[in-house]
Amino acid sequence: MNEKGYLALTLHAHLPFVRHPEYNEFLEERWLFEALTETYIPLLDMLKGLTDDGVPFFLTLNLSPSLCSMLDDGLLKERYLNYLNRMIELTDKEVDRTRFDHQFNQLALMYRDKFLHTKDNFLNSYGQNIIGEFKKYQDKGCIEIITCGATHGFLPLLGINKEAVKTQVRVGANSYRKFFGQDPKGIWLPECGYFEGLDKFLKEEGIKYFLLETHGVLFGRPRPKFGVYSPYYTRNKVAVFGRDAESSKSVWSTIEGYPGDYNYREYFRDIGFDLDYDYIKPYISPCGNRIFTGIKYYRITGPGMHKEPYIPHNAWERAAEHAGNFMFNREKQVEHLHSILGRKPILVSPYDAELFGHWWFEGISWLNFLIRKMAYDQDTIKLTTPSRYLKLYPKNQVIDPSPSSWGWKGYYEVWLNGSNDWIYPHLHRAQEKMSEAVKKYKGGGQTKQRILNQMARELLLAQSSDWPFIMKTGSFTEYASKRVVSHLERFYLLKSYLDKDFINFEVLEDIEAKDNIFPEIAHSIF
Amino acid sequence: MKSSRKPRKSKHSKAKAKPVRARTSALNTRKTAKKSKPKKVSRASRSARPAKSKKATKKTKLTSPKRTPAKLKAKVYRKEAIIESPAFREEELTLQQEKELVEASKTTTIEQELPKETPFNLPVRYGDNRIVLMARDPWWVHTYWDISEERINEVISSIPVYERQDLAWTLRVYDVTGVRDFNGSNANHFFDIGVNFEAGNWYVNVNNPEREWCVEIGFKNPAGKFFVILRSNFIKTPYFGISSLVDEEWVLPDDEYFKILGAYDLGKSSLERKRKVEEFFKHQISSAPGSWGISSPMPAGKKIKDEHFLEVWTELILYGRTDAQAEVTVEGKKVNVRKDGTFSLRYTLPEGDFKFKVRSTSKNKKHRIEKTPAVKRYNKK
Repeated sequence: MNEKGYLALTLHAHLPFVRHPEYNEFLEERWLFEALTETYIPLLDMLKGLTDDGVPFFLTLNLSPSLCSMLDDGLLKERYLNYLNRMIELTDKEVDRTRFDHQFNQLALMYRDKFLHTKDNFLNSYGQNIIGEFKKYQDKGCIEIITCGATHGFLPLLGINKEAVKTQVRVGANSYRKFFGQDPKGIWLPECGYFEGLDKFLKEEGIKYFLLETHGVLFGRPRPKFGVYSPYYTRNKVAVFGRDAESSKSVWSTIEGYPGDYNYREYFRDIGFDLDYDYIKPYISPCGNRIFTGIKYYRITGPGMHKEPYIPHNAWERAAEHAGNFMFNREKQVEHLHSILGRKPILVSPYDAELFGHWWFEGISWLNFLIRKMAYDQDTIKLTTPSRYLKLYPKNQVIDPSPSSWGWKGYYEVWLNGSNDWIYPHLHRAQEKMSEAVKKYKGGGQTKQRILNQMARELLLAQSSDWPFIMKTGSFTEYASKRVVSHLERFYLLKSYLDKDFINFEVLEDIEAKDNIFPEIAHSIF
Repeated sequence: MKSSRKPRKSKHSKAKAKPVRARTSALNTRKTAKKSKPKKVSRASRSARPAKSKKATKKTKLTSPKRTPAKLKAKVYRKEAIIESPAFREEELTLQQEKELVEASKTTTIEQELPKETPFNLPVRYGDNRIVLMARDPWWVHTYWDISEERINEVISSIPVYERQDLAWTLRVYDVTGVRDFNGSNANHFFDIGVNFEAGNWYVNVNNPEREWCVEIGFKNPAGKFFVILRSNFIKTPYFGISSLVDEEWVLPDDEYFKILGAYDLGKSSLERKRKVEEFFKHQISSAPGSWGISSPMPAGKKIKDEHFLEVWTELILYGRTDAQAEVTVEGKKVNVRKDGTFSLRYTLPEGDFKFKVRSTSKNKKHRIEKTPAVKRYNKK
């Protein structure tokens, strides 16, 4: 116990529920396939390597309920395999095409191996069960998986209706119980969005802790004694941890952060945009628009347009250096804080999981190096999880955390501005109608309950914070609007079945088959 | 990047057919408005109705709101519809100027949003009499309303006839911090904003963190009398800044405290210190990395610059024909031969000398033919 403090690395993995059985192929479903190939499966690979080598480590991982629903879905699994087969086909072609250009040929081989290896893992090692695979590491005690709002609804803006918040939290917790066979200890609040009184709903589900952006804790009332380097309790006795800004910045920042290193792979140069149209056409969007394929041959090189071929070995060495640098800075930070605080501080460093591997290609290697170095190269700082730290320091100050989020400008503006504010009148009203319908029809027999269940699913899907987020960022906005509206349309259609006592079973079945998220939802809404 | 499936044609897109005229009239009102007091700027500039006269924008008529096609035209913010119009560029300037003006004057509203039309089939309004208030950040709140004609008429008919002249749609913003049982007259204070009813929503700068708020929408007559139509829920703006409230059981001296925050040189006086700490946090929060999300392909700061460039690559296509069952190799590597005996290969062709030894071997291995095309690829100086 020579350590002077702790680091709680936290990865937040989430994707909105995108599943369109009504089409043979759907562009936005690729979000899942890319994240699986580039982030989730490489993470599992890393976890296996670490445990095989007996490296001691602790990580916190949030797998959002909507992501889990997709990982568990038969149709999407089948489509993922199709996707992998096509990518293997493309990389085969790439290996042939680049045959007389050694540098690119090496890269093409790397990608082909990666896809082959991914497919082998997915089919053979994991038996297509990604969630079960993560669960294994939680059961071993090295990772702590936490839950999230059911569909990642931005709770402060849904909070006009307390029922909405309650349902997001409860369905999220129940989904977790289903997949992981235990109660969730912690929750990742969607976008770290907090409002006064939210802790009460977490308490009701038995959740022990949540994480906030730095100022969510620092601006807490009264003044939080240890800054963000300690947990606090809310009035309802739920623990809250604040993000450490310093360690976040070195990874997140596209300018000062590690991912901008010139040796690292350039995300924006992709064969989907570079190669001859006729050649690449079978592998891009079904409507013929060029898209990112994930096969990228260049390194960042410099600030200009000119890019040099990617050299994996150099990038790998940089990842090791950056891991060393990160660890060194954390050691210094912890020593400094320890001397002032008079107790062992905790640095909470949360990141979007998809940053690693998907955006920052070398991110998983960096994480792997960091975990191994922390285990063997020093004794100043150790990895931990929020739960473990709470066991060490169970007595903590009570504060009211500040309403906040981890989005741009720190509050709610990303999800409430001219591009997306039109959704809230519809969402709030639908939530009221939902609560009324549950009251009125819950005793009304099986069919009525079945309709209520599906209404709840539609409402949850419409509430996903991803839609207003996408509307704000400006790409895929049409799709995002369409999702909000079509879920609400289905919601009102179903509601009309209840009100008119006339049911079109064909339509009901069709909707159930499309939006099949949370099959266990009945336990959460009645 | 979009998928090929298009949503049903929306009312929205119909509405964008004739945007320029509508925007221009909004522009005119804005220009006029600028000369008047700042508070009126926001009201006049928001007039969704393509103004028939300046007068019409100033006073809201007493007729109940009906959404006419003309009004829908006014809400057109789609760039593709107006980008070609010179009026658009001019409008951009005006918007910018107006923002500066309004910011400088510290009045309560800036953001322009004319009535929202949702695409697809959801109704724009439900007419179910609600006004909802939400916090956006410590300084701004957002409200939306949806009011039936009946309710409006009911309120109007309750107003004595002699007080009914020139009623203006008004949002009354109450600071109700610490007030229990708010009854409309026991707020700490309030202020009024003229709003455009058709907009359906408004951003209000309350400029005061950690206070409790409530709004009412209603009519105000020139004599200043306010007639409420609906009252919103109560909210509190988020906190900002380090609390000066200290828990005696959990105290760290100020000097030490600011050290752990990473702020060192803060000056001596407590006021100066408070100001510096707030600046520090404002900066930190606004530069927070936030969420990248897999669905946002352009993270901030990574946008590729719009500079002129040229990239040229070369590939070589090698193709041929042999008997259907023969085996073909290129530089020793077996290649695919189609059922009709043809084969086709494409290779990257970097700078240099290349030869491609193509060999075909008949099925019974008795016949073998070799041909070796060669190319030299270089960049002409």
